[in-house]
Amino acid sequence: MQKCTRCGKKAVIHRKYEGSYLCSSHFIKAIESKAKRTIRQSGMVDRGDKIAFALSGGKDSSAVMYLINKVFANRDDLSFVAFTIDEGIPGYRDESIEIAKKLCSKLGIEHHIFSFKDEFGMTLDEKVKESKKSKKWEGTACTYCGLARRWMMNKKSRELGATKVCVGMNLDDEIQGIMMDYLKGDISRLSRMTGEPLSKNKLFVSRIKPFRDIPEKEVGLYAILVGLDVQEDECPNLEGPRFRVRDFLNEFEANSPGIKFSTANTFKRLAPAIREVAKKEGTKLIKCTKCGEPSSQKVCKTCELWKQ
Amino acid sequence: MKIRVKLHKGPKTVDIGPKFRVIDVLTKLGINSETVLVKKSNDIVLEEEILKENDEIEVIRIISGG
Repeated sequence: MQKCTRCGKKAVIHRKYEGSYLCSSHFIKAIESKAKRTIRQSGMVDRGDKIAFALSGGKDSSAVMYLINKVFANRDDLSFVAFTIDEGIPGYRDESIEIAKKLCSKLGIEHHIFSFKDEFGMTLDEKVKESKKSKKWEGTACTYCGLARRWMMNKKSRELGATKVCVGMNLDDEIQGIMMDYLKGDISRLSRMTGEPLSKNKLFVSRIKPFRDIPEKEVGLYAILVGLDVQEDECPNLEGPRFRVRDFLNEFEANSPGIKFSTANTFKRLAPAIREVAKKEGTKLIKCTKCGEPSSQKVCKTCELWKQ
Repeated sequence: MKIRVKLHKGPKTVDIGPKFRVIDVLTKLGINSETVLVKKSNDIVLEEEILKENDEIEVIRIISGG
């Protein structure tokens, strides 16, 4: 039995990237300290903030809401609200919505459910079928889903009066995004991963990612150790290059521990240069003429795909 | 040596040699250890945990997507 490097109790994790073993209580403390450090260093939480949790009911968003609620328990100036977006994926989202409801009720956090059906007139499954039939198909179901979810996340957070929207994105999500933007040569999107928007727009609710420096496996372990329900099912629509990048990075990490951190750290060091290039190429934010949400085009991509 | 493995999609029995570890079972099943957590007797165990005949482990998938 391997023992905790700090106290000698039974270890629950071997952090190969730093050569340490941690027991349950030291691991939980380490995750909470790291998330707090990320929040503090990036100034993610300000006095009087109303934080909206984009809660899918998956392990990441559940864990980040649980952690924030715990570590900011004594901050009376902060207020919390949560919402779940129901894309309409039968047999998948139904389970996570129940998990989300249960967790909000346990933590005493107001919870809202918003659906694609109410917002766009059809579920994701219906949209996919319609687009394929009309031969207007754009890539993958994830393209339609991701765009609509981000659009709703911003709009609904603003409508709920939130000053920040908190997402469960972890280190793996971050580096997958970086790699994808790099592979596609999309400097504008890559610059948005630097954490600071190129142009500020009052219609945008700032997104905060307290888990962005924590590997996905550790978020999962944290969720299990603090007793959260974890949904094991993967979305049935998963497809596209992002998931090949995910698998590649996991394979690489298993053989060369630490590459996830080094990828993220290299990106942080390059961030000022990436922002400079993006500024020169110039992307101005305007209001979408159809929905009024911030957009770089006259008509935003969400309206183009979902509302035409 | 036989190990019973509880997977999300149903149970499996893996036949491996003596003095094998959790990581060897995962490798035999083609599962990347970065994507799962493993429990034995309801406790989280490390991938270097040595298994005994008829041990039962549970593999919990923790990678997201969606």
